Amino acid sequence: MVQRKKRRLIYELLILLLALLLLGVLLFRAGCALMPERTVYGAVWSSYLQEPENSVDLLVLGSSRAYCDVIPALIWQKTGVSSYCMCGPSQTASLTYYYLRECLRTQHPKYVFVEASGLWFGRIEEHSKTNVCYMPGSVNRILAASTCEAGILELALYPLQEFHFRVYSEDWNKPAERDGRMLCGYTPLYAAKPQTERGLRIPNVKPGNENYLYNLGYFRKIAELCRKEGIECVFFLTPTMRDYTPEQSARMTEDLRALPCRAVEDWTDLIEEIGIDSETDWYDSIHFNQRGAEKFSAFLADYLLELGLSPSADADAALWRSRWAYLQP
Amino acid sequence: MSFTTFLFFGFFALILLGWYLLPGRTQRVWLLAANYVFYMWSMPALGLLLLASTALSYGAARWMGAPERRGAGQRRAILTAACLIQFGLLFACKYLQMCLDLLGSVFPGAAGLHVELLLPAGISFFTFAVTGYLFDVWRGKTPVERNFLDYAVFVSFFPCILAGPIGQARSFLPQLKTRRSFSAEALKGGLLRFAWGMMQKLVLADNIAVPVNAAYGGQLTTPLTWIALLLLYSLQIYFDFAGYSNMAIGLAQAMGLGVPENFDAPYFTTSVTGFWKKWHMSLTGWFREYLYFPLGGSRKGSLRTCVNILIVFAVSGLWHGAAVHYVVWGLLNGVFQVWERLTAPLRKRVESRLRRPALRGPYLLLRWVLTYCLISLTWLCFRAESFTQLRFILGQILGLFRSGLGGLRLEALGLKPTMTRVLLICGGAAAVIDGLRARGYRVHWLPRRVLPYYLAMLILLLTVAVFGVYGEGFNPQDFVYFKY
Repeated sequence: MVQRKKRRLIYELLILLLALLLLGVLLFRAGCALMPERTVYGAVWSSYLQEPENSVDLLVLGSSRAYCDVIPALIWQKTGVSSYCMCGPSQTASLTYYYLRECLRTQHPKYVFVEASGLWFGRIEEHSKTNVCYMPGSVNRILAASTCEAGILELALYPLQEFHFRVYSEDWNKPAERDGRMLCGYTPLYAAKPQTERGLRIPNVKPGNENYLYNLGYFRKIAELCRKEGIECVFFLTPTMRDYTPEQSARMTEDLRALPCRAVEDWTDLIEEIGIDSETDWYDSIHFNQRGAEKFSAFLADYLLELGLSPSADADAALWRSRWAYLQP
Repeated sequence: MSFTTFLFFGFFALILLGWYLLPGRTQRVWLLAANYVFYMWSMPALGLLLLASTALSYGAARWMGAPERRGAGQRRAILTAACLIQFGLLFACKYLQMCLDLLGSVFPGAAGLHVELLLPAGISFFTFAVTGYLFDVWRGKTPVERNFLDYAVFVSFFPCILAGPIGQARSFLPQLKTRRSFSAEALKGGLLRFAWGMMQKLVLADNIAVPVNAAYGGQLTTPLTWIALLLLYSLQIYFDFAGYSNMAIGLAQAMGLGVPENFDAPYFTTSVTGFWKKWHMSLTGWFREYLYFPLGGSRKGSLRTCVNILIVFAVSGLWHGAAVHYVVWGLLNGVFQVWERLTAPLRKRVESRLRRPALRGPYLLLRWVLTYCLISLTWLCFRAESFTQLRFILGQILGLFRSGLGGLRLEALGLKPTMTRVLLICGGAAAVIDGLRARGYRVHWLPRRVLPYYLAMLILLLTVAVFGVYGEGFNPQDFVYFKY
């Protein structure tokens, strides 16, 4: 009798553990699956994961400066190189690293371009929560969240607690206005705000302080991961009307060049060289609108050719043509 | 502290641990401390009021029970004084402003009088619990509780203090006399009931609340939509309050304690009288025992019975809120019951001619529909914030004679099609379970079966997690009955 009771208790404890485990997994999965699809303003994970394996030649990572300024369809049109912008608004260095790890699960690009303004971000930024929650439900998502703060980790594990727009969002039941599969992570901005004077950008993070070194540590991890995977890594800064101080720029370039990467490109002063019109090509002082983005992307395409990046045979040419057509007015 | 927060889940786990591990008297000290922490969480000063009410009723009962004061007159005087203080406190906190407003409307000189008094959470519930105990002691139906600790645990018992069920000392206090030892079956049964209550509240009530609140908040809509909203509000308030009651009963059950049932499938009845036997049973029981019977109940002739019913329901309306529309709501329910009482002989004659099942089924269905519609109509007086709003809504509904029914526009009020489907499925499941309850079927066996139990829990928790209304940026509705 006692034996029977003991057996029953053990059986019930096992079932309880199994039920708890299953509940955890199902809640995590449901939370990830029920997130509305991101089509603009950051990485378009569902479109990216639909790409044929190893068909992306170039991966662009970083913050809004990258996803507003780099147009993958234009790069393909000029070079035949297939690319994706897998960025996030105010993307921190640690999240960029885990975005890269997640991206490499299905693609093995030849080049990874990392927009480097993340070096000056805090460990957590305004959109970190959202950037983590849009990641696919994988270990990288949890590791990414664990670099932020306890609240974000909880949210990464159980996103349903915050994202109730799964049911009541305006986006739910309504097709997205922009097609993420066509834009490949690029966010077109159309308004034009004339930029007459260049100003200074004073980030909260100072060169050499703990936060700066923390970010630099993640950029090192990115460079090392790329080297380990046989991928060329390039750190770059986009043209801007709000410059860093000369000391900051010098320190940043010096620190990034010390990393095992192919190149570090400071393009902040490139404005005149690529023919940017200060009246018509800026969305604001740090982001191009579509006109400006086209000019910068054309420059980037030439740069890729200079680097000797040749297109893979795996890319779906018809799809890329339709992506180019999608962007035409 | 709300039952539907992670904070509360942690709090309850801690209480359970102490409750089952601590020995003898310490167990009750632990529970009392937990009760006060729970009650004082949002406003610590309220603990003093609760303590004062507890001490006063405890002292009054002890005084009544003392051998040297066995005279009926003295005992009655003590009871009257104690009840006057308890109800006086309730009056001051809840009804004084309403009386001043009424006074101001009659005497313009008194207009604008304002008293800033806080309405302590759950005051209507614990006042009724302690006065019920005092009446029972006075009548000799329950022995005087000599142990202050046990009595304080009864008054402040955290699952019931904010919105009931209103506890009865004669059934609760004896449970504290023996140490509650751990029972896996009780714990599992309690947690299952808690999860079921959570589903009723967060999935059903709070999602139905979305279009209801939008419409009552002033968004214009069609007559047909208003009719649908009236019917839906009946479900919202049921799932809200029954959900809370199930959670409270489940928590008590998990601790091995029993508290009164509050609902027994009320919407499956075919008369308003029957509805009130199954709706908020702990409150209607209190009114029956401490107001209706003392008024004479049904023993003093038909006319007096009808008057008694109207008095009880008018007071019940007033208990729900310090506003005239609550009294109207109570009186309407009273009037319907009086009507049912007066027409009972006629109904019996009709029913005797409808013995054939082919006729009886449609007849009962008709009565059920009529009862549901009448109850829904009374809830309109309950939900409307003023007579102006009440008139406006009735005008909107009656607009159907001028401009037709119009379309059903729940989606425009925020109820998305996805959620409508979820509500139909979960509401259907709740209806089946309530239907089984109405036929006397209970699922006592479920906690004893391992696989079905965990499967049921898994489904419930997933449903709540995915479709429930909770979390940052999407606040759940307050429990409707918290404000009473």
